[in-house]
Amino acid sequence: MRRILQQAIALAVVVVLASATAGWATQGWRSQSKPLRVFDGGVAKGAGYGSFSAAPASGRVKVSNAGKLRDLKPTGNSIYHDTRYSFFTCGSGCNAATGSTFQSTRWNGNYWRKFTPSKTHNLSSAYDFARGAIKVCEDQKFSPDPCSGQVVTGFDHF
Amino acid sequence: MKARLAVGAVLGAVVLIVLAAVPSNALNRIREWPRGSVANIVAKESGVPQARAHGTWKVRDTSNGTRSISSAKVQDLRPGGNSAFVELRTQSNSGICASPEYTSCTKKWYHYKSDQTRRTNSDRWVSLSASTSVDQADSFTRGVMKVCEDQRLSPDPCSGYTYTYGDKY
Repeated sequence: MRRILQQAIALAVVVVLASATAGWATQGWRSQSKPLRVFDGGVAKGAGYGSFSAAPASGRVKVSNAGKLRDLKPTGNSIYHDTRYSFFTCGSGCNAATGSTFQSTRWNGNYWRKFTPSKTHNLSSAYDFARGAIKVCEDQKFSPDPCSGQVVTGFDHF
Repeated sequence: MKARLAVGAVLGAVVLIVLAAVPSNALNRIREWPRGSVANIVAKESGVPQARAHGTWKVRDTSNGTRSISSAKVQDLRPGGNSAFVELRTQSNSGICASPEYTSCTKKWYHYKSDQTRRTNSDRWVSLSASTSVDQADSFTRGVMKVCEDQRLSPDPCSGYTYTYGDKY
């Protein structure tokens, strides 16, 4: 019994260590039942939810956002999700050292579909925390795109 | 004995690793205001109370993004005339704030955005709320509130500001 317990603990340690050394970090944003929603003129146009991640790879970080989208008014303009990310370093205060933005492919189906845009970012030095600001928008040709409010999420250094 | 020590060490390591891996944000933590033993913030004019308020504040993910939300109970103490409201000021911190309650930061809190509740003219307690987005460039925020009497032709008399504890988001 004791041996089994020890083995179980050892296994748990290996799993945890493996996932820790793999080094990626992820944060979910919203859910299918409570998605981010973009409105235009009081009408809900689109919805989205997903998972924001970053994975280090030898001096670079792959930042990605697996976001599911649904166009609630699929006859007109299409919707997309937009991610702005930053890596912060802290001294007496914390400042954004570097960052960028990326967007998903446009979608106009009224059923959920996942889009996982990503960006590989050169990161020359260590950072203290990463932030992602995510919103869902509707692509409009002749006027500024209406967007949802942004979810602000992130994680400490990995 | 050795085995027990080993298991203990391993368990300790697991706890440390799990703690380090768990993101430590505090969404949805409810902060009551005003802090301390005071029941309400009070707006006075020439020493006469005009309105009072208390409530809660929190950071929450909504279908409109991450929001700083103040839920206030407001009472107009001189109903029939000018109406009362609460102003929320969302403050951010770009430093590192230490627990407990993130009161001690390496930088000063600064103003990010403001919002005001609807007005009330009632002598009963009325629930009103105000909210703003949060700064994507920071990790810590807190709510700052005052209650005021809305006056058309002169500056609004207001209470002093009350500050909640900070939260990580």
